[in-house]
Amino acid sequence: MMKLPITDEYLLRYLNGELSAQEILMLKNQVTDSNELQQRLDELHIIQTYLKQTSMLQNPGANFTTSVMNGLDRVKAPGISVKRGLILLIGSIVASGIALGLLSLGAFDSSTSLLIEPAVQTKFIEVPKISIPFNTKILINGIIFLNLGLLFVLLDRTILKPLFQNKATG
Amino acid sequence: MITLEEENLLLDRILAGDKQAYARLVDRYKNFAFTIAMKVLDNRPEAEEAAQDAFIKAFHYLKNFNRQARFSTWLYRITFNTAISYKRKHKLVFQSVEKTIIPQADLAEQELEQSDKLQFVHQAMQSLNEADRLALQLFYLNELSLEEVAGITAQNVNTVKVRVHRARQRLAEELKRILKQEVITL
Repeated sequence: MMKLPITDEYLLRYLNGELSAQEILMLKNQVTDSNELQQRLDELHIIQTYLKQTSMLQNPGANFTTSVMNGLDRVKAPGISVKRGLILLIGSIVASGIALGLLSLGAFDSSTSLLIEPAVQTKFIEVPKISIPFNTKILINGIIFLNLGLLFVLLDRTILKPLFQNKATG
Repeated sequence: MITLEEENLLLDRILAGDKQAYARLVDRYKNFAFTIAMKVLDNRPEAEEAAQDAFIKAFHYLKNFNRQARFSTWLYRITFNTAISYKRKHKLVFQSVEKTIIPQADLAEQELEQSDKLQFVHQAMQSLNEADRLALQLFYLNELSLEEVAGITAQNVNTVKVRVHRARQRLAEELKRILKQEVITL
């Protein structure tokens, strides 16, 4: 009888009971004649046993379902973690503090200036200078105002909301 | 056991606002979800937390589930991804629980030899790369099909096939090497 090269896949099919009676007989004959094949079969058998043994379903704790059901109401603030929120919060406080400090020191009192100043002048036409009165103090006040708004949102998302949620669920 | 029809009815009830109906789905799939998380994290408390988190995420995103796949496949993918992100976040080294499955005490000599060999396979498993190891473990988990493993891990079926084949091959080679080493040591 002609001997065919036996692949690992073929041996696995044998171990899984997927071969026909005739194929099993042929394989058994070849295994009896070859120590190397016997060894390969043993190795695959032990691997298969291990994988099946360690692949049994495992049970979680007894109150798994209860914990999940309790957790359904716990909604995390979308997109912002507590750590990031706190960093942003501190950053906003520092930025607002610096801006307020500079304002109170009068750093922006004399900074009314011209914003755009394109002076186009050719041989034939002369475009007059465009000047827009610009008050830095108003801009800084606006930024501080926006910063304070952001600060309140962050405070709510990172500290107040989780605190009240924990109180409600705890 | 829930049939596909019952499952769809349950999903309809949950989407209509019957939150308690979700408990039936959790009960039905918790073991499998937890086992998947265990395969990834190899740590019981972490796996339990990740699996719970996955169920909560699935509940909140249920309205986006288009029912083209089975709910279980969709849920297992969420569980797998959640467990992977837990692993990335914590990056802790845990003692493998798989070691505890293999009994050591009061064994007959032949059983002890078998048990030793299983320990060697466990040792060989650690030499596999993580993706191959997970594909192999999921493939053997309740004998999932390659398509199901591909669905859970969001990979191509052929990629999973290659991973499983390669992992098994590598395992056999590694086992051979370890056994040879053992013979030399003896």
